[in-house]
Amino acid sequence: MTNSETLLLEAKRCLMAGGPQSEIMRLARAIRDLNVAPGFKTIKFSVLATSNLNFLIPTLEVSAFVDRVWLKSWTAGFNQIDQQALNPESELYLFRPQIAFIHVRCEDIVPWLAYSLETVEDQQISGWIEEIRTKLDGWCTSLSRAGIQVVLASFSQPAYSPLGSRDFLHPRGHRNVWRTLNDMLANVAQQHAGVSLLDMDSLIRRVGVLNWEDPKLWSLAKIAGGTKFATAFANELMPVIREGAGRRRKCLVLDLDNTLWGGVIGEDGIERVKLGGDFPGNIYLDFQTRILDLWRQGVLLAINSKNNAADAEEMFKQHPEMLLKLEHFVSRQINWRDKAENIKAIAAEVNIGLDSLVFVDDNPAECERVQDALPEVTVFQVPADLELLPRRFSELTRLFDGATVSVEDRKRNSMYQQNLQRQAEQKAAASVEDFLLSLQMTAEVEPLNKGNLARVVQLLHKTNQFNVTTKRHSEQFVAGLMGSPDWLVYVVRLKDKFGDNGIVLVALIQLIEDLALIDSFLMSCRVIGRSLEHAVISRISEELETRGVTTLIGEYLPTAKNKLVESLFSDLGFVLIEKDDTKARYSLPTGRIGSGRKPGLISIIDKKD
Amino acid sequence: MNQLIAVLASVIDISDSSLSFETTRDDVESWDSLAIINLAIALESEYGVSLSAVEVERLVSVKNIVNILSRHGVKLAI
Repeated sequence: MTNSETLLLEAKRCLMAGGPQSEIMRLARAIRDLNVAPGFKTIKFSVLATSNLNFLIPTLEVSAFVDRVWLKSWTAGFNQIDQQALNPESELYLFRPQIAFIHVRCEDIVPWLAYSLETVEDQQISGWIEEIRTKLDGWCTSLSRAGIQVVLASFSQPAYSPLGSRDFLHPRGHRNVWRTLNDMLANVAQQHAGVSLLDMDSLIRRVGVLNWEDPKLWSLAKIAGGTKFATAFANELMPVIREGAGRRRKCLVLDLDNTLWGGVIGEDGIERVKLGGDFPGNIYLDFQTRILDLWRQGVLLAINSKNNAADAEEMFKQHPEMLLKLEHFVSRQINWRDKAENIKAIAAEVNIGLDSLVFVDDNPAECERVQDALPEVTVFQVPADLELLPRRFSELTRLFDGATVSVEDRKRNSMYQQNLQRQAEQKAAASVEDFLLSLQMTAEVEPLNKGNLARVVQLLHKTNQFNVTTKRHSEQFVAGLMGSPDWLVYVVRLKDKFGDNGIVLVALIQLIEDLALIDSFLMSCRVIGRSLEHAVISRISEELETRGVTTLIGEYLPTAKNKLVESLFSDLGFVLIEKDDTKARYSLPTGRIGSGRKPGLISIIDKKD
Repeated sequence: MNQLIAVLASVIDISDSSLSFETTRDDVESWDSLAIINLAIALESEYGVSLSAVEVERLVSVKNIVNILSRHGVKLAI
């Protein structure tokens, strides 16, 4: 193993164990002393500050190294920002960092700010704020011009206010003045391209202000940020460094059982898996919500689960609390293969590197297997104490974090957006017909074949609402219809200007001399209201006429769930010929259906094998 | 003691063998004011103690360091 790989493993171990600062310093020195680090991306990084931040750097260097980023850092002497940032011949520009981090305590520029401002004129305070703004603006201008990306630390309020309990409501209390200062800072950042903010307050809140300010280090050497702070600081800054190095993760690969829901779907079934409601179902629902948030930001999702695909898919489609839908996943590996092999398949399918993947599983053996086989993949194990999942996962999501949301990645998450677009068009369109027309729908009629057999059977078994006879034919039965002279099978795919809805309608027609009996006619819920059923019946009727069939017979067999299609046949122009409690039978002469509702809204294409 | 020497050597960036109980900052060029702060941080995290500013200023010889640590209840086998 090369030097850099050995160091990487040591660094990883040290960070995970929360190793002592002496060990961090030793590792950082070893990393600096390397001659080469093959496969590592080099990033040059500088710190400009009004206090001494040197002690935060080793942890940052070690953290970056674990992510295969070789950080070369150069820190300006403290309070040297003007000299370094404004002089084009300074050491800073000689070093030429890609990223510069600027940390300013406003009390270091205007010391009065640290004390009581109660008797200070408002105008005086505005003047100070303007003075700080001018400085920040000058630095950002010079650095941006040199193509250096700037990260500005927000201003953190001192731990204790001189006004005590009156501070919050006092117009010149620290809280109000710091809010104005930070608004000014955000404004400066927004005015320059390539300037982002690091929220010091949220960072300090997490470690505690007493860990941020070490009185001894501050008094002796103007060191801000004790060592306990270093890890949190590194974690906060790493997204910027990762992004600069192209090491931002892109795809979250998820196990299903005991990861997206509690229990095992193949054994417990939809009724008994835990999702939503009380603990632990609430944790899984929260987890799905967080995952959906990532997806909305353009993170790709994939499934890697040992399961029968049908069981898992059933869960996605039928469980009322499932927030994540199958459509959210760009790749679904639901099978009994090795999970490391599945991950390789996902990376290939999505066309991204293994180092862009984060894998989540509850099973320690699976986690270890994947980590051993694919060290580039980041592996996250659902904590055994499930209540820790939200917090741990929030930490993990920093791997996907960055200043920008990638448009390119978002495109892949298209299905959801297609639906949103359809809904938007529906709102905009004056009438339902206009809306349907604007969708530019095309129905593709495919013959039954080996490729669509599984989907046809699935629809036969799963469709409850838009299903006139609810006959759950077996796969063997349906397969037997292929090429049979006594049966006509219509398998219909619906496309529109937003994309492909997939196979959504199936009709099985039995031919008995000059009669045709509709054995099954069913449609997926997601295209209800598109008038597809009218277009298809119209097409069937025409085709039957050319085959010499005179009459089309339709049957409605009521179930608990199919009331939706009770009047389907009358709506389509069929005439009721007999009816009792268990069935209603209708007939229609074949040929062009003149009165059939708006078949013209959808163009129909025949797809041959 | 060996562990302490290893920590000191690592922070001051010299070899273990060039440090002994008698070594002071006057004997080692890299034992500068920055190294003293680094020593404070390293010793605090290594031994779980909290040093005062005055104690940090006195981290200028191995002997002082041993004394300060023992005052904080750290037992070092010599």
